[in-house]
Amino acid sequence: MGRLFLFIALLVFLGISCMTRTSPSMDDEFAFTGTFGIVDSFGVHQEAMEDIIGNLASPVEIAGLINDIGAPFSKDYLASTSHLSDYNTAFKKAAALGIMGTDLGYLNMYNMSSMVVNYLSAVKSLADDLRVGQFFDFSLLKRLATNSSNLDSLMFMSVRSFNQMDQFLRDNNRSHISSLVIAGLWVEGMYLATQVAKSNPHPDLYNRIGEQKIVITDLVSLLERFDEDPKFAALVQNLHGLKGSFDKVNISYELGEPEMIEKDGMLIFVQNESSHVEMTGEQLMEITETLAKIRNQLIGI
Amino acid sequence: MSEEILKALMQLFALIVKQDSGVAESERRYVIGFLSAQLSDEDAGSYLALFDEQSGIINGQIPPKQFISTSVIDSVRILNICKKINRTLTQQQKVVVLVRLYELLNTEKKFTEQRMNIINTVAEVFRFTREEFSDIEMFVKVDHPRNLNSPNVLIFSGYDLECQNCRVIHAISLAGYMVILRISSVDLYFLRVFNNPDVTLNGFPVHEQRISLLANGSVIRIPKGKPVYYSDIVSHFLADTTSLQISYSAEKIGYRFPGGDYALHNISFSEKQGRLIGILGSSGTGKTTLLNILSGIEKPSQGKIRINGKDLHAEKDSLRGIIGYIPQDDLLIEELTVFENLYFNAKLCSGEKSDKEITRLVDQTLNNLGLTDTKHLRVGSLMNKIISGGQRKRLNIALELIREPSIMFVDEPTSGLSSRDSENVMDLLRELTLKGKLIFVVIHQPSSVLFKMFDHVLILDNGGYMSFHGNPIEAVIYFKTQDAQINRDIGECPVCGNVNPELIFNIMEAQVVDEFGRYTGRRKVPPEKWEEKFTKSFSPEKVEEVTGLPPVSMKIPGRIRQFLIYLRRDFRSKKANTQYVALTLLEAPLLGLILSYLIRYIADPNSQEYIFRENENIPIYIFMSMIVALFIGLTISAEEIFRDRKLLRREALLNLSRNSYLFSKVTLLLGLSAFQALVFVFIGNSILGIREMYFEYWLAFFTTAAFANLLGLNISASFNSAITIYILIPLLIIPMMVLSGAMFSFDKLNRKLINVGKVPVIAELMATRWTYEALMVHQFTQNRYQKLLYDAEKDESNAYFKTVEYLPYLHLTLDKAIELSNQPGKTHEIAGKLMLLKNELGLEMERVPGIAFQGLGKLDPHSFSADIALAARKILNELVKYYSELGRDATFRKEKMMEFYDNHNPDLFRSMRKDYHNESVADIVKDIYERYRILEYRSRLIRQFEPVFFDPEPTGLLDIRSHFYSPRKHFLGRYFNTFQFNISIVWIMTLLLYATLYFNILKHLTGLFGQAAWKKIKYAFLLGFIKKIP
Repeated sequence: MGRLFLFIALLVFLGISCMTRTSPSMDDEFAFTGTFGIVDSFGVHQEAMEDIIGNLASPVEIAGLINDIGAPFSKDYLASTSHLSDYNTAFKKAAALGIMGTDLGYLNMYNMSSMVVNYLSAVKSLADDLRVGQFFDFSLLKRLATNSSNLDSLMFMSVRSFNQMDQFLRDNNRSHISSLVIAGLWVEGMYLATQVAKSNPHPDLYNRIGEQKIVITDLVSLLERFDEDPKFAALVQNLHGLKGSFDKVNISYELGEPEMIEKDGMLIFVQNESSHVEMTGEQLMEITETLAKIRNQLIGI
Repeated sequence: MSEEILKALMQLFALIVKQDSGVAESERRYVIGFLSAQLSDEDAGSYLALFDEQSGIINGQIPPKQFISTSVIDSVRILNICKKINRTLTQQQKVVVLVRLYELLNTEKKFTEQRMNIINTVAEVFRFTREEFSDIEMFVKVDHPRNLNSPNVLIFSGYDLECQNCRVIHAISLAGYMVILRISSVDLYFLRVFNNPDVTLNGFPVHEQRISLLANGSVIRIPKGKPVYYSDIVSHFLADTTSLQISYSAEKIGYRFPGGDYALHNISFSEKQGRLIGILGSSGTGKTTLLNILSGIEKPSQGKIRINGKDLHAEKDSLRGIIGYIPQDDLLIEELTVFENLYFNAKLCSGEKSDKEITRLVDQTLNNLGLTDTKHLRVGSLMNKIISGGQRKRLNIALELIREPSIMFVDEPTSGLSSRDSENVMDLLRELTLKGKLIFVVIHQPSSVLFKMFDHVLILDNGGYMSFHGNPIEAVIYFKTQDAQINRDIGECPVCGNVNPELIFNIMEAQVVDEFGRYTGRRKVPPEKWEEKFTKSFSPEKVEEVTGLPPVSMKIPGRIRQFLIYLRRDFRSKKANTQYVALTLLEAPLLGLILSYLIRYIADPNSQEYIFRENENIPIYIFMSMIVALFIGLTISAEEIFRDRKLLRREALLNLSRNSYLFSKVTLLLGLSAFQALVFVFIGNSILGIREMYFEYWLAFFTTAAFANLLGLNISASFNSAITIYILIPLLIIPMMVLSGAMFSFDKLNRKLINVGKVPVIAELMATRWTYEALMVHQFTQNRYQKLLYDAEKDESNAYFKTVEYLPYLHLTLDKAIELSNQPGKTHEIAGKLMLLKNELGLEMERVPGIAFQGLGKLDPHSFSADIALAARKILNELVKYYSELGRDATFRKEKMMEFYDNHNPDLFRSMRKDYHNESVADIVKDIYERYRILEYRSRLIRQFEPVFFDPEPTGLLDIRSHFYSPRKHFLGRYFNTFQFNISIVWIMTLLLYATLYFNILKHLTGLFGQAAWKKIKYAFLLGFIKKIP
């Protein structure tokens, strides 16, 4: 009896082992034929990056501005989260991460906590997919994001998170990802600003948009480093187009009185400088359209 | 005798005597004598009138003699009467008619040609054989026994007698001759005496002129000698017609119930072939117990039983097939027809016979038992009767009969039957004894007719005392004598021939009456006394012990053939139950349809398109499928064996293979489950859009159902009522639901059960935990989309965990240890931290080649120093670097691949994810909701992050345990794919269940547990009681 059982047990085991079908391997179409050569460091200098980040209006800032000028909330401005799962590549995901991040700031500013969750989870899923989820403390973010009085903490958090993430990505030769996140952030911020400007023309907003003439140059040069990749190349080309539109905008600077302030226990002089943006309605229109095109391309499938 | 016969007989009598020289006075007297023996005077008168009228007697005056030749009219009338008799009378009754006719002629010895012609005609019409006819003629006509010449004649002779061909027994005490004729075709016996030996038949004197019919159970008493019983006569005739030789002796049988009370006392008797023995007694006197012991089902506490010299209980094997047992309960399979019941039974008993032979045998048996008409009727249940109670009983008997056991034990064959049916059944048994079989029948309240049929009765009194064993009519006389009743010598009613077995019990159980005439409840004669009286009055009959065993016609088929027969039988019986067939065939597809249709969820409220990826219910579907499998599997099997338990008890007597039986059950159930799995999965998976994994889902479903089948069979074999079985089902299913890992996370159970980082031991026993995990892991890792990326993602996840959770944790631990080492009195805490570092770094050394840490041994509070701390930090940094590189490689690989697919055919890639990958399944197997990705437990770090991406690290060759949703399982130094491994585990569990089923382990366990628990309670109670006394 015992032997019989053993025999049957063996048979079953063998049977199952053999039974697992060698399923018709991937469609031939999907046989991976690429190579895994590691992309070498693109040699982005940390300072350059920090420079850009410093100049970049953080999503929270833009949102704050839009809120300040009294523009009403519209969810039509927001990027749809429904295509999230259709993003095939890290490129798409990274850009979307930036875009959703800005949208999150915008939502937060208007206390739209019901929609916040949706964007938070979008950000989380994108960050996790990109394996940078560790830089987002989602439970904390959620707490902060649903309470707009914590604006400063939120800004601090997001900047700090971003810097950490960027550092990490850079350490891992993946600075193209952080560059894309920045591109996303900027594009969406600009998109929001231009869209709001359409219906709520406000000088502050105009100024803020026009000022980006400087930033776009940095952004393009940041992304240009990766333009071996056709996707990057396409993006850079689009941004060049946008840059062309911005080139028409005139920014004049006025130097004010130097001011002495105390910082870190030292007295330093700060040259107060005010800029003045000259931008026609047509120019804005052009920028708005080009931006919308770029942005929709980024979030499109 | 009915009016009809009597009329016919009168007419025949008249027609015969009327012939040639006409009726004689003595002939008329014979008729008068004959009638008065049968009827009251008044009735006799009217029949005599009929006779007179027919024979031409007017007012009792015989007309003058004249020769009349047989008229044509008379001939025609005779033929008509005979035909009429043919239609109404049985063959036995016809024999009686013929004998009576002869007897009539014999009164005047006028055997003229005309008269003989008539008798010949009658015999011919009645279809007697020539031999029987001449036997009767000789028996009636002969004037002295010496002139007899037939093997069917038995002579008891008081004198020396030479007789050709016939059997002669010398009975010195007999003052004459007793001649007995046997009509073998109908098994009737007639008695005729010569020389006035002054004998009585059942208490009535036998006249020389008369031929008496020996009814069943008759006693012939000889003034000075031992009585001659019907059964003795029969056995004399049978002595050489049957080769069957049986000696059955019970020697001082005693039986004690497990509780300690005596059920049977000192029962001894001997019997031999060709006897029908009735075991009688009031309720609760141990009749059935005795029958069980006599048949060898139960062991006596004392004494033994010898059959042809073999001990029934000690040498059971050598007596196999000789004994048949027909319990009181039905042994029929309700769903099968009468024919099929018998057919399969026959097939199981006769291995060497061909189908054709068996069919013939079955037909013949059915014919013999008068069941041919009902042959194709379903047996039906007792509640839903299709065939009558009598037919059921006969069929039950047929089941045993068909294999022709030499000794049969029948428990209450007549209970619940009409008297007509009872008689039929008993006639059947009676006939069997005529073939030499020995049959014991337990009977509760036999009617007079049944009572007389027995050759011997064994009367049990309260407490299991045997108060009588012997001839039934003798029993009545014995008890009447003991009670000093009048007419004590007469056993049966002189007019009607009835005996009253009730009388025996009335006498036996008579109570003492008090002075007011009320019963006191005290027996006049207690059972022990009756036993004593019996042993004093009768000396036990000696039966010569036969050597050699009776032939066994049964030969059980080989195991494989048994298996096939069982399988066919089971299949037929299931097929016949249309409700069952419909439900079992529809159950699975319906459930599949309902379940999958209900949970076919479209996440996007604005869309009509069903997207598999977004259906959040897929994990629930997988879980529910397993539960459905469990339910269906259990319910189709839970009653299987239980329903057959009576059959099994009987089949155990036949020594049929339990394995064949179980295999047939298992085969059928597994076949059914496989089918149900197929439809369920086909419908469910199609509706839910689970692509390509039909086989795996089917296998997992089937495996779970198969496990449930075996589990169900186990409980159905172990518990004694349907209700307990159905109470048990939720008890089995609910833990399997709860501990499947789908409803509750394994690390959020009661602390006492949790094994951190492993599936709890208790859950490992649940089949659902294995099959659910198998499917979830398979669904996630093997779907077309994930398969592309799985390896890269796995590496990425592992490196990520190391760099993001694991190494930072170790870093922190190191920092803490350094910090603590600067504070005094924290040795214990430092030891904890260092132990963790030591354990984990030690493991890392094994995992990561080329990284060595010399100071590992010094990670303890005493040897811990700044140098060691520095070295450890260095190692940690090296590890970070190592894993970062690994992670980077993996991420690049993944991103490259994604780029590649995206460039290649972005839509195809996207739709693959949509159609093959399910987010909810992914979320669950990646455990994205887990807050603590890393856990410190017993100086080890436990990963709780993305379980589907890391393999278990075994502690030994045989370590098969792992965390839930691990992608691979370890065994004997190898890793196996979780799906295959889990399915194999469940099959091994299923095999184990087969083993427990085969050895009936669960039943023994429940039995043991029951007894032990009861004893404990009893002792506890007693102890408590004793303690209270002082």
